[in-house]
Amino acid sequence: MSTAIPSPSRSAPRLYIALAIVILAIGCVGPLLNPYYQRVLMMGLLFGYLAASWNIIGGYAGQMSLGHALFFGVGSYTVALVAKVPQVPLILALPIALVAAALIAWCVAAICFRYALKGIYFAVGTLLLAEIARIVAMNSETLGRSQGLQVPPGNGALSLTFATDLPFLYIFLVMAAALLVYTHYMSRSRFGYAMVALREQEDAAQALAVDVTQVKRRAFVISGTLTAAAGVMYAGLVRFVDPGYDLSLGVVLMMVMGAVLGGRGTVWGPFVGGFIVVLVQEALVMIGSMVGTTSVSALAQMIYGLFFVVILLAFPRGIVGEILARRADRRASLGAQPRGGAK
Amino acid sequence: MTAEVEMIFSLLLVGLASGVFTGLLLALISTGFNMSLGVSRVVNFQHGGMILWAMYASFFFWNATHLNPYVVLLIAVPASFAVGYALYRLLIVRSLKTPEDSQILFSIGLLIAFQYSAQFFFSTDAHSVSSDSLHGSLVLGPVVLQYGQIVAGAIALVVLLALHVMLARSDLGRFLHACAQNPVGARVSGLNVEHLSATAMGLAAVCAAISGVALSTLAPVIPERAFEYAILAVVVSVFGGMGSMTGSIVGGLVVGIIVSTCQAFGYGAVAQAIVYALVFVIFLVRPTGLMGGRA
Repeated sequence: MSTAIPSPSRSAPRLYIALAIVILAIGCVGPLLNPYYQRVLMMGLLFGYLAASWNIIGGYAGQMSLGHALFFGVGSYTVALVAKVPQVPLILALPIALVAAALIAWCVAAICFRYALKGIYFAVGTLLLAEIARIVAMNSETLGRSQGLQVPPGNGALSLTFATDLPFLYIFLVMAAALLVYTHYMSRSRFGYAMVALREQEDAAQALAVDVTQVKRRAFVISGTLTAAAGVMYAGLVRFVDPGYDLSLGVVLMMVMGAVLGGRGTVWGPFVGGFIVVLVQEALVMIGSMVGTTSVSALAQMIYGLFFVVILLAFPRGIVGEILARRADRRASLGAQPRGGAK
Repeated sequence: MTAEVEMIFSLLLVGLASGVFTGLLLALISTGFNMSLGVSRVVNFQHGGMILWAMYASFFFWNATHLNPYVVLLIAVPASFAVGYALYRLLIVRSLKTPEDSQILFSIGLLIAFQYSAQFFFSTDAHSVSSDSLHGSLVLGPVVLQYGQIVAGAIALVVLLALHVMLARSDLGRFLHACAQNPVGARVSGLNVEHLSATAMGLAAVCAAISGVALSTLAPVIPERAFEYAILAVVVSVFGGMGSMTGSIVGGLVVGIIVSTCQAFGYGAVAQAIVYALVFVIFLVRPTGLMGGRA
């Protein structure tokens, strides 16, 4: 993290209080729930985390990547490959995946931003890279072709094997909390302001000596590496790697949707949005199974697509973005000084 | 050694011949996408959804009547025009006020809705149209072409020519060009830009419907195809040049020939990856595409 600009943390105590309440609530309620609701909670935290890691490049830096499945897949496939080597603890996959993802992200970013891909070109370009990775995985014997790879259970915590799924809840909780704190400080650092500046007015930012290419590259590398960490933990939880999911556009859309729904470029938004996206999907599947339709998941997905459309029209700023904007309006109309940083 | 060379040569010939016909179809898909991009300024991912629904329309029509599936175009063409026009007027026009990245997500959302509503109604089972009138194949030396493929390519060619004549010669074509080049100027000169943009979306949907019906005679109909065709539409358009019809045709032919040649040599599975990689490189070095005019 780069040097914080002075007076960054007027809201830091409030952040920690709110965070402590959320962690305590989830930490206490989690063990009491039945396994199904535990799983929903876990996925909510995971997709909150994923949406927040996408938010760094897609929200703060404003470069819409549709290729983050690539990094999620790097994480999960590393787990599956490490599991093939006997006597090696599975947790070793984490550093390997992080390094691999950081390298790939650096190369992709170096190429894309060197040639100034932006807007739809960047979105489709990254999407194509993820699709290439998916096609390669589906045609490679070592990567399990279209059937994917199993991750056999290992020995003990170092191989991410636990008696119940509960430890994963705590892992995801810690990851989400850590990313939240990181995002808070990042958004108030020189790097954070540089990203917002280039998102709003790239030429002006450049004129003010923001190294646009370097900032974008850094945002992409951080975002991709964080995504890979989630891929590792997800594969540790489900013990199965599936190119049709791990490397698909579907996973990216969940991330993007979470960030858009919660509020792009806000600290809390993606966590809220990611959680809601998971809840909505689970609720749709549950309602569908109660009604007894045969193709429940298709209906759920269809409504999910429409949900996407409606949210983009009704709340273009996202839930948290909308709240912050209204608060800023109210303060402005009261004549008080608007608070910095919150957008 | 000569036998091997001969073999490679004949495989190339097969790839080239069937690539041209596939390419014409891709050109039609991409022309529709390009028209909505150029005139209506919509990144039209739901194009793939339109193609999918046309494929289903063709299948059910054929299943019920056992007539040639192309007969369904009599209904599908006006219906798809109406759907495209209405979709723009009622829904898409609202998304145009949001930033560009939101618009991309918006159209992906529509694509998801189209795709999964098809899956909901028609399940994930593969349906195939096997009309007798399209059976059999034409053998020319080493080259074997199915009639279905020839008819599909020929129809795509006819539609492309008709579109070209319409765009180049008619008043509507000139109005659409005006909208694409300068919407403000077009409005000042008294053109109804909203109506023309919606018309372009309608024409794009017609292109999607015709190519969908043609595709249904060539490949099994499954819902996942929608996403694949949406990406293909973007890829071919980028390849040739966004917003240019010549670009679409050149892009379609090049992509079609690459894919078919890969298939002929037995690398069909990775053909798409090769095309994607190529397009990615074109993105970098020539973002306006091969025939690129306006960026």
